[in-house]
Amino acid sequence: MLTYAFKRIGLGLLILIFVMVAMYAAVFLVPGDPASVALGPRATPELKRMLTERMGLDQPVWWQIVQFFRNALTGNLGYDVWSNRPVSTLVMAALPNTLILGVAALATALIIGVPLGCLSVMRRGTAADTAIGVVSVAVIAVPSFVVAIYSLLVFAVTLRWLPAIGAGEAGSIVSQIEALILPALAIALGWIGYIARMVRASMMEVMGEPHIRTARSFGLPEWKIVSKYALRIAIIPTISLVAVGLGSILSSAVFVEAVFARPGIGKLITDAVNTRNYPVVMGTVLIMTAIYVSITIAADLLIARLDPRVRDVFRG
Amino acid sequence: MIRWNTDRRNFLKAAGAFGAAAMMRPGFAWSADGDTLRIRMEGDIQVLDPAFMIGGIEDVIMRGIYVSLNRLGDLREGAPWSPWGAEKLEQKDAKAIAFTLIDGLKWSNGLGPVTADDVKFSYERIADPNMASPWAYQFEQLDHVEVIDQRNGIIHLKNPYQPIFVVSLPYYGGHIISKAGTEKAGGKYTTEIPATCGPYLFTSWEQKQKVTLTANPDWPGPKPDFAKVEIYIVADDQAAQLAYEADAFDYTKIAIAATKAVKASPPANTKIIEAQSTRYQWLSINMLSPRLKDAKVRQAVQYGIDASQILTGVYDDLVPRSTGVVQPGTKFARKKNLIDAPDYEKAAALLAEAGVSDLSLTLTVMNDSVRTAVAQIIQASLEQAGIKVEIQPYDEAAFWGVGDKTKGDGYKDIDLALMDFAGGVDPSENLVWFRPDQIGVYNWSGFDSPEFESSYQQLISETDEAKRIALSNRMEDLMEESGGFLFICHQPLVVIHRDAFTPVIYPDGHPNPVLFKKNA
Repeated sequence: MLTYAFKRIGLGLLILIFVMVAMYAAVFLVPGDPASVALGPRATPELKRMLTERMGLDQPVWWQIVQFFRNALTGNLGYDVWSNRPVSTLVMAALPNTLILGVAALATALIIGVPLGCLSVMRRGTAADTAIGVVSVAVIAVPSFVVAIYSLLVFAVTLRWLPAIGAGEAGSIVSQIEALILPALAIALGWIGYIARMVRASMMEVMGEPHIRTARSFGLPEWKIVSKYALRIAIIPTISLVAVGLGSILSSAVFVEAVFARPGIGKLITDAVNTRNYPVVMGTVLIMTAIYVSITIAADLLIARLDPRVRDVFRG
Repeated sequence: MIRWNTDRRNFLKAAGAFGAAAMMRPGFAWSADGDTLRIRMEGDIQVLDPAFMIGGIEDVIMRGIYVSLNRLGDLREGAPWSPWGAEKLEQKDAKAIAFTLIDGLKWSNGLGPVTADDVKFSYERIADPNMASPWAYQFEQLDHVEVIDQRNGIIHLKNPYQPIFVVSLPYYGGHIISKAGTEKAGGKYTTEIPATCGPYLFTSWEQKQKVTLTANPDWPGPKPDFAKVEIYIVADDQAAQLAYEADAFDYTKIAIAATKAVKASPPANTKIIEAQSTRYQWLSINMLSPRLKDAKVRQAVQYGIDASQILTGVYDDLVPRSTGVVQPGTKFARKKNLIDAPDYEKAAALLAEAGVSDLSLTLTVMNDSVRTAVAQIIQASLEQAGIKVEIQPYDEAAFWGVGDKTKGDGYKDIDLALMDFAGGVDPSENLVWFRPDQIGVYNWSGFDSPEFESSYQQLISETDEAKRIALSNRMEDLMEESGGFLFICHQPLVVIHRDAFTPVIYPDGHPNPVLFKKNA
């Protein structure tokens, strides 16, 4: 298990380095001049030159990459070009909002999606199974920003039950939870459908296995067979899906954060890309890639723990 | 099989509980408070140092926390200026302006009174080439500020510069900062403000969410009507409109495309402001392009575009056609364009005279929905004149690099470019970008007129208004005669706000919350 873990972590580090080198290459391939964007139609060529120097963009690319990694190892992700604030401060201010949103959306999707999938299997072939199937496919088909806009119209504009914008008042948990409900629901809805379908499909396979038949022959109740013996195996593909799907959840977060004017990483990255604020782009991408890679590794390790065959295959 | 055990009694119980819960929900934390003004801006703070601020929300905040010698009025009233931080502001001669600060102006953080020395420090700092402030142009005619005593001083100019009262003093660069505080902060700062002195204090900032200003108890001037101003940061106009309807704030700009629907069915207790902003839009026709070197071809382009279709199709006829870079309806505006209406036959005849057939041009445009729609109408219009147009969209960062001469000779190869700049009240502020030294910088038409340059120099020093009007009109004639420009419009500004107060909007389209008045 330890060898497996080390190999996964090594692979994760390689991915991280590859992503950052690719990002640097992209910076120099994409046309656009941050100085012109920031300084607008008032900038003199001298001022633009000074800004370019300050951003270090006049240095060779390889030197910038080396510098970036050297500084990143000491926790220095550089400085925002315009406000001169440390990138790490900006990221740390935005990151909790996005992580809370992502975790809340995932938790909602799992809490609703997994039982729905199980229920569908337990009642397979009935109206309930059909209804869950239809609703699951329907919610998968609706993009999260559409859910975001309609939920905002209904619950914030018309009913005024929940706030329309922001992440809630600082220091007020109630206000922050209120501000989280609609964005989390917007992202979670499609995932509820995905997870319900995935759990149902896996469970259908597992329910035909000999050990389930054995459990049935011992007269164990169906709910116990499903929750204790079938779900443990059937949940494995869902864990992989959820880990890989985190990227998709984070990209949904970009739109949802825009609709609900919720400060977060998505907003930080899009603003930084639009203004060619390269240090912020690089720092944010590094942190997000690290988080994504860590979650994927954690999911792989969890799967290996649940299913020893996985680590055996890797070892072999 | 799922069984639903819902009888009438259970249903009524559940419905009753649900209704009660909804009724008992404790007030809405986000609803308006009578003494709090909640306005919406698009972007977050980056720099609150007037010499390096970027724009938008920063200037709105600075109008509250700093003081300037004079201030502007609402753009719908022609934005007249009046003294603000100065109780006296008068022109001694063409190159000297005397001021007296109002009594009792005080810096926060125990930095003592606001003095004429602070004014000198603030202005000379921006004008200093070593500071490399992007706003240095506002004080390029400043020679020095003479300090007479604590509250009195004289602004000395290198040359007569009439626009100083509307271009320099009331705007970004004109905000006075604390000399002691700034020096203590190392000479410049971003978001850690060393000291403030305006009607409001900078109370809190929730990154990318909200800025809160509260009334400054030490402010000696007229008290603002609202004790607290909350500025909510919402980038998207449509999201902001929904948030306004959900009572998240009391004032917001909305998308032009939403205007018709909002007018047909406005939110409750809401007033709509439709104004013409100072942001002027035009089509640059580049005379440096090999395809447009012949003036007849450029004129064919001018005759081949129906600007009225743009005004209807994109701007819902909210604003009239512009006759230049100066706002229509103002005293400096030209009466009409030299080419006032499209004439496709004349366009075709001009092309034939120039010996050009199958003319195909590229149109460089920023890739947002409004600009793209304008470009598509231009494309369709020129098609009728027999000119093919390929639209070349760029995002903002890439767009400004296209016409930049420091990046090579690409600026000579642009054919058409759809452009818009935020303008000012004085015509010189809008005309400055078409001087010969701006070719390959912001003059993307390659317009190079010695008469224009000499007229510009006269315009900034002339004090006689009639002469200034004649000069600016002539300069716009020269631009149009060159075939390098097609003036489209000054873009509309549409704002919705609660009817409980009357807002004041500066010519840049941003509000000045200090001057908002509660309605009786």
